[in-house]
Amino acid sequence: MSNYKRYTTLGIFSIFLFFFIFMIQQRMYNSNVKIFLESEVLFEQSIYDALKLKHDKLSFDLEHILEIEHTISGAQYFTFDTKVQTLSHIKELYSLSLDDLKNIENKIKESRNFSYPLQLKEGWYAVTFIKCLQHPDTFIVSFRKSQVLENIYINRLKQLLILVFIVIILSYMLNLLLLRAKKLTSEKNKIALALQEANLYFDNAMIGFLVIDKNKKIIKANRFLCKEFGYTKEELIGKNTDILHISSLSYAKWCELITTKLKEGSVEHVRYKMKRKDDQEIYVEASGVPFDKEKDFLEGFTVWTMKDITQQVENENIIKEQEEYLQQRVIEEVRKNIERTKAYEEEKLRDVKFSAIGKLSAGITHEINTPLTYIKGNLEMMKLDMQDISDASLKQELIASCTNLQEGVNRIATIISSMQEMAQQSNETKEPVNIYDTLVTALILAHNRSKHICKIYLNNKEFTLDTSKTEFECICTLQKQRIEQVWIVIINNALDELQKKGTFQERRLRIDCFVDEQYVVVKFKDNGGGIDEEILAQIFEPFVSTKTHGGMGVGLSISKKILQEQDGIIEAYNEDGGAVFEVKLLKSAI
Amino acid sequence: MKNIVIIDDEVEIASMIEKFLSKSGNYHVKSFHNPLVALEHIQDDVDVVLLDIMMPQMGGLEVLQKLKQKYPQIHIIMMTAYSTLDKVLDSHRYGAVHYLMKPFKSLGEISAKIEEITR
Repeated sequence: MSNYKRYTTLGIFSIFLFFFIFMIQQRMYNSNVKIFLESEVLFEQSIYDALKLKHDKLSFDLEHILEIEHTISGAQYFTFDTKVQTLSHIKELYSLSLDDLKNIENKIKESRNFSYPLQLKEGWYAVTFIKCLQHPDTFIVSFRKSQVLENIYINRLKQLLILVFIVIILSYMLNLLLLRAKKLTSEKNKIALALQEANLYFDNAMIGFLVIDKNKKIIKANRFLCKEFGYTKEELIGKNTDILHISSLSYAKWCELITTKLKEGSVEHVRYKMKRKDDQEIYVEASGVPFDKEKDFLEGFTVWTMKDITQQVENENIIKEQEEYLQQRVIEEVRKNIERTKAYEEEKLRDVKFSAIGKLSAGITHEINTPLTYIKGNLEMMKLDMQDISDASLKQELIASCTNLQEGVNRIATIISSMQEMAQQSNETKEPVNIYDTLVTALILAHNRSKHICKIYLNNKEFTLDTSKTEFECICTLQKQRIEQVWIVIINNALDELQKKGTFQERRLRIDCFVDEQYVVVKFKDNGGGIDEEILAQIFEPFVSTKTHGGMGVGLSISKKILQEQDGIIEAYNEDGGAVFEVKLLKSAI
Repeated sequence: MKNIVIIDDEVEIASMIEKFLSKSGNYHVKSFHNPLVALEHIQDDVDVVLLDIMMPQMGGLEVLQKLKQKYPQIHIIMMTAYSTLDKVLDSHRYGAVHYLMKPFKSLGEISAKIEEITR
């Protein structure tokens, strides 16, 4: 219903109420008239008393009346004879309404004395009609201006106003009540709707919901929960929650656990093993809160969410197993690594020891070689001197002793030489090197000598001190200094051989450096007549030399050893009346 | 007569070589035990210098450089009781004609080498 209609109804109702109250007022007015009359009786009595003071008989004429008029203050008394003064006259005199006149006439007929309230121009008057005893047709009429009457009417008006006010207030309150009631109804409807909606959510949620009471009885369970545990709602509701647990012991532990947690406020994501209707054990993640947090949770409902996380737990277990396995592997690898590092450290320590021995041996070999040199030399001289001894047997004996001494000294020299080799182990690191560059370096070093022996051609160009080191690029990863030593040895050997034959103009040394699929190839080719076939097979063996004097015969063997260390190969052969030394070095990957 | 100079801080070795070479009668031999003194006394008439590498006063390689700088025509044979390939190469680079390892295979090796290079 619209507000307009409601207020119209309320207005009509108020008018009706007003009318009803007016009627009641009318009744109250009549009753007031009666009270008024009673007071007038008393008043009448006082008039009688007053009259008696002056007259023995209650018979008085007009003059008496006039006289009395002056004796009673505050009131006007008139005496009139109906024959003389008619009611019509009074009507005209006081402008009475026809209704009033009729009422008075009726009163005159009915009763002896009466009063009548009249509203005249001047205000409200109490008109009292007193029938004279001696003159039944005569009435003493008193018009007395009545404040009381006025007050009564004002009061009546006031009462009326108050009533109207009360009615308005009441109607307003009624309206308020109606509105409140409507609001309540509306809210009730909303709540009902919300409840319905909540129930819908509760029932269709993709997580299990469970409401249990203080006795652990299931009050409510949603479809998801029922599905997870394999029950119907009817089978769950009203049952104790132990139905969901695998054993009474497990249930007791659960109760103990959640009681502790709920005391702290809530249960959050607790994992627990529970049981389905078909006795299959499942892992559940449960969270619970008291329905009314103000209340002690033991006294009220608790709301639970439950989710089957069996698959998740299984996955986690797999991951955990894998993690453990990985951890184990890591530990194992770390242990191995530690062992390797330890071994490496030990090896390093050994290297340091060897290095120390090497360094030491450098000093030792020097210190021992020095006396060995003059022992050996002097022995040699002694042996020569012994040739001059005339006594043949003594000479033979002394030479034999000397030879023994020389053998012993030679053995010592061999041991010292081995120590020296050990001390010469290189500590250089391998790096990408341009082989062409190293060849130019070696040729520069040999130039002092080669300039007197022959011309040298490097990649078909005559070598001079101005030859560029970067004209060709053949990169290998190796120890630069070592490879330079190899070139020096090979070049010097070639120069030694060339020196033996021909003239400067006839002699040639050609060096070619090029790259094939796998190797950097360096070819040294001279025209010195080549290497004796006997020697060729063992040319890289130590102490093999073609030189008649001076050469130690170790150059090429050391060179071969160096090349092996640099992943290189060296070959020697004869070609076009000269010797060829061909070196192949693994080229660097680009 | 070829003028030979021996420079070696080891008195015994220097004396021994001196004695051996002198004995042959082909050489005029003089030995020094201090390379600094040797550098002062060596003249351009010297044919061959037998020079030790490790000496306390001055290293043989330095003496080699100084001598070659002053008298490039002098043939210098290096001697050492402890050698590395590097030292051999360096000696060669600075102009030494030969390199003898101590202890010598035989003393004859020295005279043979002197003969070879002074031929």
